[in-house]
Amino acid sequence: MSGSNGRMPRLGVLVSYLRTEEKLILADARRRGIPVTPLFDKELVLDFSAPTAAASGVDVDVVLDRCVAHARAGYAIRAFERWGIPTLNSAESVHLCDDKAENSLALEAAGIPTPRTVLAFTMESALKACELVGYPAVLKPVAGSWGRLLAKVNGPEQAKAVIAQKLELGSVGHGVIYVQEFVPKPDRDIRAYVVGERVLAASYRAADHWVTNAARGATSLPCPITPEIEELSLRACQAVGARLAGVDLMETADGLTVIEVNSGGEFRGLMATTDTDIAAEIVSEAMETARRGRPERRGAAKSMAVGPMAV
Amino acid sequence: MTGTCPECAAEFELSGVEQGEIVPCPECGVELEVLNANPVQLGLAPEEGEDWGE
Amino acid sequence: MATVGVLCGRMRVEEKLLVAALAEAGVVAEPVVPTGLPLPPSRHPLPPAPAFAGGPQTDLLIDRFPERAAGAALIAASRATGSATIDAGLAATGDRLTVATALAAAGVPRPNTHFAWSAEAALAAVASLGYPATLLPLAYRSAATPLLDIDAAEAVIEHRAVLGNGVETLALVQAGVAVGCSSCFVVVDGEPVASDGGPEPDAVAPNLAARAAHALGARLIGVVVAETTHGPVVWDVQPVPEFRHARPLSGRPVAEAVAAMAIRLLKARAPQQEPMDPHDPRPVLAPAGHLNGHGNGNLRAEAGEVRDGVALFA
Repeated sequence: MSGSNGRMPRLGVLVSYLRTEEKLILADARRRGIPVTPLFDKELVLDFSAPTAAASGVDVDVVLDRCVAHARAGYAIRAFERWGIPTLNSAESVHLCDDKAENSLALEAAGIPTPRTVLAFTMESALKACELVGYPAVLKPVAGSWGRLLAKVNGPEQAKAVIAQKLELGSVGHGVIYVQEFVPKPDRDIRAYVVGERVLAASYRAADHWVTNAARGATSLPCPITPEIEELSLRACQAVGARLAGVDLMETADGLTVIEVNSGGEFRGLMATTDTDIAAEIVSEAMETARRGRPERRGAAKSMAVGPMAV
Repeated sequence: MTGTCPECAAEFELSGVEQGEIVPCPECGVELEVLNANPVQLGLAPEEGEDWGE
Repeated sequence: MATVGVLCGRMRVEEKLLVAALAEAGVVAEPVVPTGLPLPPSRHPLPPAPAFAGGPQTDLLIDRFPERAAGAALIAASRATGSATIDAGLAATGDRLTVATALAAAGVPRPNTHFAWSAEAALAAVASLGYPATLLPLAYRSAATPLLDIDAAEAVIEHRAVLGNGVETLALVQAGVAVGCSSCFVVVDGEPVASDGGPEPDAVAPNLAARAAHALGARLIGVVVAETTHGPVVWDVQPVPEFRHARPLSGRPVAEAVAAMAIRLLKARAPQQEPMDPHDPRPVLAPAGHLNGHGNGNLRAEAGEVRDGVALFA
């Protein structure tokens, strides 16, 4: 590893475009003299036959994924892994985070409190799934973000109306119907931001709408990091193998429940509620990742071996 | 056993079919799914999905 | 010998009934199932002449094609090659907005309706109409979707905007839902012939269906009439109605009525069977405006004459 020969590890930040978060990360790295370069997903030409990442145009020692395009990031990280470049979140953990069904399955398997989730593949079976969790039920796309296409269905007719749109207009992934129980909550949820083995900050996200997503206009308010938030968030990250993640939690009558773990995660809203320099902590974690060194190169027999149990 | 095509109402002989099997209607050609084997009940087979294959 | 075709994806119960009724009336009808072969855009071969002069040449084509975008094009292509057609008129080639506009222009009662051209407009339309409301995408291939509450409205509209290709967002938003209070009337050659579902109809609803068919220049169409507190309204139309379970209103089944109309149309064509002049420069497709009547009493016949007249150079 280049870090071992005394030279600063070169940091690549995989991006689709630069948002506030990425600019802060780049600025912090530059301030510390770290050679940092944004890797734009639109410019990548990933030649699988290349012996090294450098031979495929990516000459860095560690990659931080800040890409908004999940499919692009997923494949890019797999390729970086094959070339032995460490990433903050492993390809497997990005895979588990980017798919809501995988995410829920991993949380459930790890015994982490999470809303009851049922998967079905046709109109008829999806309506049965809704009956199972009871109305109102929540329908989510398995590959979705920023609060897009979240549907609260208050009865079977409404469920039918929404599922019909997915089946008529959606691509293959929308034929996977993800049904979740609707958890009555205060008009807010909690976003906890995890870097490495620490919860760096937490915020309440409040909205009049039942979708409390910052991308949908929810307001971020300071939230104390209680032992429960800390413990649950870290366990959730461990369940999906993520070291850099935004964990979404909801307050219920029976305590906190984990909605999902977002790999990478946005922290713009969070910044207003904390004194912690999140960008700086992320850069430090990136350097730590570089120092820990290369992931095992992906051989044919060992591909995809890094699962939640291995973390 | 006789089955009736839900699309064209053709009646035709079926033997040894199992629930979940796909059979073509000999008259209109539509793909039919055996919804129930005994008594035979036929429905339109699901349309091929973009990700179906081997 | 006149050639009658039944344009369809495959021969279902309805198409079989039509072929049988035509045979009973002494007319041999063939299913016309579009294959992989291209069709000429008109009866005038464009230079260089296509190697394939193909497409079934019919004297009369009955539109039973389930997919409307392709069906409308196939019917237009058939007319361009000189065939008469039995179809749903404006509803066969148009969309729900075209139909709603034509019905409104003809003074046919319709539910309170907004045209939404974006997700925001659709949400505003529902907000102004109240719940429940119904979203009717402009394309007939998309089913009408009841919006029972705000959560369903937000989700359905967002799904169409995000998952659709832009066109899918275009929709009518109508006040109310037609579930449980509507009947579909099959109107053939100006006459309401059968009804499918709904309560036993009085005289008002079938007459309304006939007025709608007339306003659209439709020879065969399903007209969905819903009962509202303000009386019956035309809720939607079905360009290719199913009628296997339809109850005849006066004893004559739908297929028989279609066969009778087919014979009438073929007779009307008979004296004009001289060979077509390939050098005639006049366009073979009627401009849409010719088909779009203005609600006068003789519209249906007029629309039919214009259509066939143009196709035949009468």
